[in-house]
Amino acid sequence: MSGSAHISALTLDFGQGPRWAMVRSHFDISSFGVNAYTGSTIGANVISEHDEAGPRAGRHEELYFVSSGHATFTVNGDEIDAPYGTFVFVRDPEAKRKAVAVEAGTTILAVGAAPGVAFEPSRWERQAPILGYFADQEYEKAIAGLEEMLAEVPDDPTSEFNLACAYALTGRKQDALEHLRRAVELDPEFRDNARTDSDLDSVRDDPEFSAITGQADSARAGS
Amino acid sequence: MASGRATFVLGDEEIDAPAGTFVHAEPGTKRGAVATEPNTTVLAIGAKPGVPHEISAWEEIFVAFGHYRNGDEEQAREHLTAYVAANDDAWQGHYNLACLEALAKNRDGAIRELKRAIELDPQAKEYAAKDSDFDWLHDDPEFPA
Repeated sequence: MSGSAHISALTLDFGQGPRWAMVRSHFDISSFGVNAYTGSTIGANVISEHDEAGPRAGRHEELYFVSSGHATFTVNGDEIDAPYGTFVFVRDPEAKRKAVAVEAGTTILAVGAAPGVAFEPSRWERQAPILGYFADQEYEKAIAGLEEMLAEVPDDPTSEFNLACAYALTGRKQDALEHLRRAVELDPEFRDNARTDSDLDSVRDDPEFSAITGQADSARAGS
Repeated sequence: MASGRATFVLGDEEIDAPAGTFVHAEPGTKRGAVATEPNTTVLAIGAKPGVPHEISAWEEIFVAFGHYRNGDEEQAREHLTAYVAANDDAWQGHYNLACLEALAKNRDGAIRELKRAIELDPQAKEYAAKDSDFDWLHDDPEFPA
């Protein structure tokens, strides 16, 4: 259906990382990926460092547009000063890219799709509606939604990881660790996410957590 | 809406769209936007669901007519001719080349290209009948629309 919405009505605050306006899922756009990210403070990550080549990525060409504020992009180690109105295009799916806010309230619109193939929403983004429950701290609803997704698509590492987070946030440590272990088994990159995601703080001191996780920092954000 | 403010029309609906507004239009929905503040910028993104993206014909055609408006008829013709050569079975290319030739008062070229466009898609005839680019050709016995 056609329609309109202001970015302020679409933006979710997860309490960590950039605020995420779920543009694609809101309009159920099925031909390209589009999301907007806002860094509230100077120095905040607006686009978390990621590439488009991993098992969870869509190998998208990505176009970023600084729609407010001022950012510094880093693409494959090259810094790009990007004031309001700047487009940054990253064709190479292997290229590491990130953007940091130079001004408070910097918003970047990210648009992406893979060339030569029909678009499919990224696997991580299909969970957008469920992630909304995290922003609203409705963790039981998030658990129900994620369990349902896992019944439909078993062995999805993103669902497993997010379920680990939801269980950790409700204090069910054993369930959290079990799903975290499964997420890392399915995709070892989730070790990095686990180390930086504060949703898992309640299980961080558990020896089992250390056994599951490795080192390095990384996250993801994309179109 | 990247900057400024606009009024969008989406089908029968009118939408006040300040900076930061997203407007989503499905293929069958008529859409347009008018600036309600100076220097209003709208960023437009589009693709067709379920198929690999191909660059829209109108992009090349817009570039060609941009050259024409800037007084460079030859560049415009070069662009459109190259587009038509690469997309001989797309009626839009022939139709727009016909428009360019009509604007350049090149009767034979305009009629030739319009005939080819109509051959490829009969709706080109309806467009041509109402298109002011062809006004001076309407009474020509060979004009196909």
